[in-house]
Amino acid sequence: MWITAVALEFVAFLLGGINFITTAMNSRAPGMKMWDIPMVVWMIVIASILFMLSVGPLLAGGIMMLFDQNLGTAFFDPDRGGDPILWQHLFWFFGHPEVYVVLLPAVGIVAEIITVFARKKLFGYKTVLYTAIGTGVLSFTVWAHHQFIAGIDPRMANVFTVTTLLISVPIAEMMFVYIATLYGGSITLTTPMLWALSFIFEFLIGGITGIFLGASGNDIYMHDTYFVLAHFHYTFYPIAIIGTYAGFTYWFPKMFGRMMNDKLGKLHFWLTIIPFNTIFLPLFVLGAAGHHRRIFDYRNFPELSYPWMWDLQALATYSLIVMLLAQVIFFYNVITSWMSGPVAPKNPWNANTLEWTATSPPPHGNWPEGLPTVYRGPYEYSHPDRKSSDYWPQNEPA
Amino acid sequence: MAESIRVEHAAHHDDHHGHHEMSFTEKYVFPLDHKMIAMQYMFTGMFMALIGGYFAYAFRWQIAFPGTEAPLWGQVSPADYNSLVTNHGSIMIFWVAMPVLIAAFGNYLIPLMIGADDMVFPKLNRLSYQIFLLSAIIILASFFVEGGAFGGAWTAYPRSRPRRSTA
Repeated sequence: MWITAVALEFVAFLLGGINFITTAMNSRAPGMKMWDIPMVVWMIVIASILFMLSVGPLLAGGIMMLFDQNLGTAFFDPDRGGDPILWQHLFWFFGHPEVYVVLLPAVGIVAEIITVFARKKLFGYKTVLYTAIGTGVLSFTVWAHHQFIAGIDPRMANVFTVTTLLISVPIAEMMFVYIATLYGGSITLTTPMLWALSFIFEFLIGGITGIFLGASGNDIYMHDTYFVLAHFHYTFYPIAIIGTYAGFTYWFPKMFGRMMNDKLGKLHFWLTIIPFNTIFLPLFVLGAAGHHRRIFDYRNFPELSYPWMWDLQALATYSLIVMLLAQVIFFYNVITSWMSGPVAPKNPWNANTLEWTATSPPPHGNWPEGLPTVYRGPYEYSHPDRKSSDYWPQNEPA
Repeated sequence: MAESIRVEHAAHHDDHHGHHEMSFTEKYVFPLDHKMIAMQYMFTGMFMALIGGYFAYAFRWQIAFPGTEAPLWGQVSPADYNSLVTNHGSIMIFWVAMPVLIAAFGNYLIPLMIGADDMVFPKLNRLSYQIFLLSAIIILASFFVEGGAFGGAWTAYPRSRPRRSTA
């Protein structure tokens, strides 16, 4: 059932992906050139391409696994000459690009938010775009760093160590571009901006701990400990949870035509981000102390049962409970703001991109009176030629 | 051909109703509008995130306070523990991160940000959500079948050692 569910899910996203790519390439508004496409759209398109290229091997592997279980083949069965490592290769050939499939949209969302709330042009539009494509290409060459102790040739492990450390270069470049965008901007700390800034901060922790794990020598010690687990959650939590909240709070006025309560939003932010760090920072310590991550009951392992370890484990669990309870604030905020929040204007954040020229929420067909025409790039904030305001919507004639 | 049908269809409605008012089912259950499909993905994803978070809570309780009953879950057995961890990982990646970040934001933002009236293939878009929903139902249903949910970690590695004893 797990494989069936995963396979169906992939079919769904293959259909979605082809739709995204075709739409972004063919249905752009008149005047929108390649370099005028907002970054988040580029990122989703690149992510869809990565997904479509990487999912094939895993689907094939999944079908081979089903054959093994139901039809008596032995692709992965070592008893009958199969190779279980083959599954690991097929899985991670998908699994590693998958990380970048979900990372890139989140990075794109953050790019939209920080330019709006720092009132600055994105520092190096093409740099971000090219590094995203470079990351995409590199992401297909790093998969075996998940398998350093799975019995692969140590010489191959060296190669994958190099490619793994290499992939942190474009991502670091992206983070530098974002920091340079923030530098000297007039920053407004709204709820979406807080989420976007925390994304940069938390993801940097995830990225830096990844460098330790990417080095094969160190990974032999760290493998399957809580250090890996904490590293993973410091990358995926910013992507999946922080990225979602950033995007959701930023586009909420457009989606539902109401403004969100900023005070509740910030309360929810702090009650989510502080427990998040107190869950996973202790796990770095426990991992470095040798806690293996797949153990059901640590009482069976005296060397992993010191009182301070139990305290840290309890701290992580209590923090998780606090964090889950804090989500009640979020849903309360969404429902009350949706029902009775102040009505949102067309462009509450004074942003440039086209979605803010439609009504909030946009009707079916988005622009019933005719599609907008594009005259310039998406990030012309505080432009020196523009005296009247600090933003310059993409659809406004010069 | 398709174009002429659409025009006739529109003309038909113009004759009778003035403009086409969508029923509740058409608008919210089987929508073609990219924004509504995005909202379906978004809220399905958020619902799955809550389930994934609940799983995390149950097995974190077992790790920190082994052998005691987790409130709102009960005793976590070793088999429970495995399937909770496995499905926490699978759900958070395949049923939360993917649908929300790619499908929901992609569906919502791409047409609006590039100035298009909708996706190129709206029906394909709707089908994509329906298949996704089916997959979400299957993964949740796997908790209620005999033998319990899959517990071999989200990477689903096959057994790497021969079953025969080599000693």
